[in-house]
Amino acid sequence: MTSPLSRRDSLKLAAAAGMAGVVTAFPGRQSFANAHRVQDLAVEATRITVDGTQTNALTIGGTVPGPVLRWREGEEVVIRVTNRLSEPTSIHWHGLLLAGVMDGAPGFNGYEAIQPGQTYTYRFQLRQAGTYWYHSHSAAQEQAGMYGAIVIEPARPEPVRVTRDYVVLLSDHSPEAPDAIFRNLRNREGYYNRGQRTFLDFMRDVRRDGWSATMADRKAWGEMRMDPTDLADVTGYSFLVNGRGPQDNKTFLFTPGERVRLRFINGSAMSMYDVAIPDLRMTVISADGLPVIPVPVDEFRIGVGETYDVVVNPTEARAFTIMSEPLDRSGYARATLAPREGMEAAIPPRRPRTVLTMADMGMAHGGMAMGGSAMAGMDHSGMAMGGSAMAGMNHGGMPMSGSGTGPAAANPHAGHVMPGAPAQAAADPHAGHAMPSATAMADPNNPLGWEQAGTPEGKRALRYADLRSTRARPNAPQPSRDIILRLTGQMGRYSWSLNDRRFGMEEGIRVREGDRIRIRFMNETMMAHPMHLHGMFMEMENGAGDRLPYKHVVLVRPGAEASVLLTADEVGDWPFHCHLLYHMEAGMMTRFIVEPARVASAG
Amino acid sequence: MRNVVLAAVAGAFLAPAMPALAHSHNAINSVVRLNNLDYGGSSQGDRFSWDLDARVGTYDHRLLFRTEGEQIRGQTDKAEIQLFYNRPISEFWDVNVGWRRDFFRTNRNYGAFGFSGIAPYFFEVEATAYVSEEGVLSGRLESSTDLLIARSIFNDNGPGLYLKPAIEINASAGNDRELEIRRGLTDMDLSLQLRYEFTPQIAPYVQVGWERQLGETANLARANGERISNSYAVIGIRSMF
Repeated sequence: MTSPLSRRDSLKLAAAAGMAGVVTAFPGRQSFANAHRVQDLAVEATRITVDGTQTNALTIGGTVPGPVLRWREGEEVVIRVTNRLSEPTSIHWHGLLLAGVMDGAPGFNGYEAIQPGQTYTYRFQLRQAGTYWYHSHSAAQEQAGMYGAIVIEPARPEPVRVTRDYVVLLSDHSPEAPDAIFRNLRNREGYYNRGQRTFLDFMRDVRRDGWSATMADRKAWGEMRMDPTDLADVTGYSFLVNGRGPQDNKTFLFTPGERVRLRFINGSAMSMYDVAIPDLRMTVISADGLPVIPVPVDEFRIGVGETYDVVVNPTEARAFTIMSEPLDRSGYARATLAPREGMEAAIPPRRPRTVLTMADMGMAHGGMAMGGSAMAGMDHSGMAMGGSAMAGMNHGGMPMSGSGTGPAAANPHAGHVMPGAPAQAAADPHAGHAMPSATAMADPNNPLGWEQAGTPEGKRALRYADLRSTRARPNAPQPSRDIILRLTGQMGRYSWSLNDRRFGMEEGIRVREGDRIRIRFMNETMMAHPMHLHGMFMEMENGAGDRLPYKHVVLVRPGAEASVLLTADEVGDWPFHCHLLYHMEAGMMTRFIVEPARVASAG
Repeated sequence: MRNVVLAAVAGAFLAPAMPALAHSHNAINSVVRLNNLDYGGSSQGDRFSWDLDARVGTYDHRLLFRTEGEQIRGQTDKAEIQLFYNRPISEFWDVNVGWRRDFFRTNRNYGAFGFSGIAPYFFEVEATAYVSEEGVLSGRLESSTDLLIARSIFNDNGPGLYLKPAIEINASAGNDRELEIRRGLTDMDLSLQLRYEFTPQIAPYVQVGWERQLGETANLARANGERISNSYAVIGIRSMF
């Protein structure tokens, strides 16, 4: 039953073929007589109905989302994808460890987009278990409905025993065509922002915070030409659970007393959510597919592309609302856990939308990484002098903090459950500058700062620091070098980039097979970026010691720094990008090239 | 002179743009913006004016077309077109190189060079220097800002109600007899627009403004028995598509 090539050999071969740009060894072109599973998926354009309204969609397997692919660790799967669109398409297996040519990102690893009318046969062995997903990696097709869940059962019995096991796939669906959305974003800054501050807000703030504090705040943002209400680039979405709108109310059944596993996947194009099930505690058991030491929480924030598996144990015979609010609070995704179909629980009060602060502009960033000393001497007027001046300051200072100091400062969720004012002030020597007042910050109705999820008092939100891998690695080698990845962009032009280079203009990151490296993300923008690496897991430096969690997406909060370690053991040229779809479209992507330790001879 | 300018524009656009167009992540984008299309009354009689621009290109290289003009009492008072090659030079600023042609009071070609972008506090600024085919150097400075007064009032989910103050000042370094322009500041236009955006595509407005000739140019006009200022109140529509 084994393949004539060992996995490692076929990997190298595929990678070598990919790099040479010559198609010599597509494992997918082998006979699939020895495969355990064969699955046919057609990609086609159709119309779907969400909350009673019909819209255009692109589907995999005829539905939005596509079918849940349930597989078992260790088996070899064959998926024949047929393109019935009039444009090229592709399917990428998000989070799976596989040969590059099977990864499904056109232009990488020798994989080419599937042309109209053609069928591509994916074939790979499953080397992992857990919750993953798949989606188109062509243009902005993912936005139109091309996504679905993957559930891989472990080869050995799961340590977590549950009676029910459900996928909860969150997504954002727009009546507009993805290309039109991208065009609008490029043609007018803030095209979709319906939360911009008005003159009336100004008057309200003057009443609340006083004239000088309000003027100082408006002055700081005005000088930087930045908008503190820019939480999500796109609005007008319906937020879906497994393709169903809030009115459709997708229902997951349970019998009181049962343990239920919910596999949350954020398959949205642009939306991140705060997810809570009022009156029901969740225990997070895995992140991005791989197990973590269980963490009980009341809510969690999920970035685009991330997955969290949670276990709940409802003991009462009543309904519970699974509430997922996008960060800009422009709507919500809702589903229900209930003993019977047709039951529903109250929709919790909608949470207020936060406003970004100077800390989200990178002010905290400098202070944290450099111990504040370098920045302490600068006055605020100097700091707010405009994008270019600030950017210069940031990278001037950043590399100085050296290796090893990253982890403590790296937790992008550091403020989640903190009560706002004291936590932020402590972390950020400049915090108070343009902020109206400490009392305003603690006010749950007027949240300030990207971190502020509006978590009800006494409730606990998951922090990145809570994630600890079940697998301890006490002898993990130290990284041999740090790679700096600055997350950069120009909001006004809707130009997004890495190290100031858009995809196609950049050189890529080059490492050698087996290298142990640290990647340091420095977010110089005021948006959070879910950074996704194909082909390999990143070990997120969140202070978990020898239990760093494995992640395929790391959400780097605005103006902040985060770092990951990884061993480059998968040869290939892998996409490394922001998983916000239109940021990737705009160029926030690079190549992560792992060169073979010994270059295979061409013959 | 004209040929030189046109050749420079074409060369500047075509040469660097080609490699950029090859990449899909630098896909060509285009937009047409109708900034002003309005009609109303003025102290010199009924007034019609337009201001439309179109742009096409990648992130790094764009071609800009703009036309604006006005008619008073059915007489075209001003009509011009401009064609620019536009390139970003910093996060907030672009450089523009190109050509302008006036159709009134006479036909006149200009070579143009300038900067446009967003100044602190979100002021849109455009500063352009022109050299006419007669060899006269002139300059134009335009600035405006959009103040959001209130978010959508009619539950239409549009951006809301904007107040837009704008200013335009023209100056000349020399005299142009046919255009009746004298050296120094020549004219200015101040306006205030109250606009409601149902959507960015449908944005009706009311606008009041005051145009006035300045300096020696104004003296010349006065000497010729012409009025040197005009105030107006108009209604119009802004759009983009």
